[in-house]
Amino acid sequence: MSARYRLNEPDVSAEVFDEEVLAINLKTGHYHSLRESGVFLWQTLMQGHSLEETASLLAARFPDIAAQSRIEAENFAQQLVEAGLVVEAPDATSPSGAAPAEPVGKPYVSPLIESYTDMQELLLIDPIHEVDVYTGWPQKPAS
Amino acid sequence: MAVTSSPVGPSEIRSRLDTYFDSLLAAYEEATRRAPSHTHTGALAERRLVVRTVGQTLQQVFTPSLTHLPTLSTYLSGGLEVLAWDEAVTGVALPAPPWTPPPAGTATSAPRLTLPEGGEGYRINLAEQDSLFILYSIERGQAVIWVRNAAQLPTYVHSAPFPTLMHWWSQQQGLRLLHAGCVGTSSGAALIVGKSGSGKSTTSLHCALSGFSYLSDDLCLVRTQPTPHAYCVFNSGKLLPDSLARFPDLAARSRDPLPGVEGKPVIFMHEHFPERVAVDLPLKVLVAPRVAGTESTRFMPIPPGEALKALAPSTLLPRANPEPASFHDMARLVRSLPCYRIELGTRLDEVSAVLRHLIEIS
Repeated sequence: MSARYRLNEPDVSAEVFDEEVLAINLKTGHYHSLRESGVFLWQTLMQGHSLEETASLLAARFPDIAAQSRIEAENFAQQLVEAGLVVEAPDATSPSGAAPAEPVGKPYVSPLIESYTDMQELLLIDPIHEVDVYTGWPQKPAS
Repeated sequence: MAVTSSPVGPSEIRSRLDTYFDSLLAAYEEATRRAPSHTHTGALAERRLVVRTVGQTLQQVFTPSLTHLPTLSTYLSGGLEVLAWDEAVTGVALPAPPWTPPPAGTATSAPRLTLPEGGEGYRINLAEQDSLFILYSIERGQAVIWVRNAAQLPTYVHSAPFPTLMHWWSQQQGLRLLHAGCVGTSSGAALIVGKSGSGKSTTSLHCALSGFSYLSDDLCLVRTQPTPHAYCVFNSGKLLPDSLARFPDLAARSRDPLPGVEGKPVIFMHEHFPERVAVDLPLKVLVAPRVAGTESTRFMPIPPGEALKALAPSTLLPRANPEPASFHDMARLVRSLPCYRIELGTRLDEVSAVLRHLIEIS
């Protein structure tokens, strides 16, 4: 069965703009900009379409790349999983909504994912701790 | 309070925190019996902010950045009362928390603490090398702050005394404390966003000296709905010495009581330029500066996603428990404002002229 995915909430939040999806992983401090066909693929996957359905919708939208639509969708989904932005959603069912709109006649450009890790250093220096009722305040690791 | 070795459920956590908050209130009251106290009241986003400090040094740390807040005859609900004392002056120590403190000197320098299930009604913060502790009760609208020695608090605490508390409180009020500068004219204000080093402070303070109203150079309180609106929380500004040297009027008025890791002296704008500080202004435009290294300043529209990238990470990620709702609220903000990139040139007069122009056309 073809995989379906959902947003990795609550660690990840995402916003879809006309030409960009901005997804931020609040746990790792990484944030990611998805552009070009990544916007269409993100929206399609987040609507609950399976990989297979997403590839079909991509091929219907861009007939010129129909032969590679499956691999494009798979690679994209794999990158999202590796970045921790999405997780598999085995219980999800096929959505009833229409696929996201894409300007007619726009040439296909492979998904572009730019990842930013410049804020991660902050989290490494200053990690978030839960006050532990057993061990008390966070302590420096023994050296 | 004893630490148990058996599992602690949410109701017990809640009970311990309620009891601990009461013990902090009692410690504060004890402090008021030992040293002079001072109350500073003002309106922040139309809510009443009351800051009570015990010890003159602590008052001198906590209140200069708040002197611009006006008093009103009526306030919206949802005010905040801050009760703070200085142990060095009063001799009143921080009551033992309901968990075991680590051995002296072993705590991490700036732990970002969150509470377990059952602690939803409270927020907790330990900062400045274990020298400043805050417990905020959301239900009571009260925060108690213990300071080990106010005279040892670094300059950036003078500049923005309790930003974490302001962040917690603003969340409850449907407001957002954003990592942003803000200046304006009679037509409205520009929100200046970007990571540290992008030019927010230089732009904000230069514009203030050029006749703009000043709201912030680093932390700005914003209401995103029904229309974007900015509030001045802390009237301070900070610049690195190299940058400050470009502004003799500010350098002459800057203070650096205890240089911290930032190494930035502070200027209290309301003390020296009271007519330049605005309590609040409607937001008209968002600008994301970038130091260009050229002489002239250029600007260009940017899509909202680009603006969100400049605003959201540096606002959200330094916080314990960053909220998805804050991210979506910031997205709403960038969608509702025209957004521009400003490539900052070295001719500062051009920077203020560009900003004035962008406010006027937005």
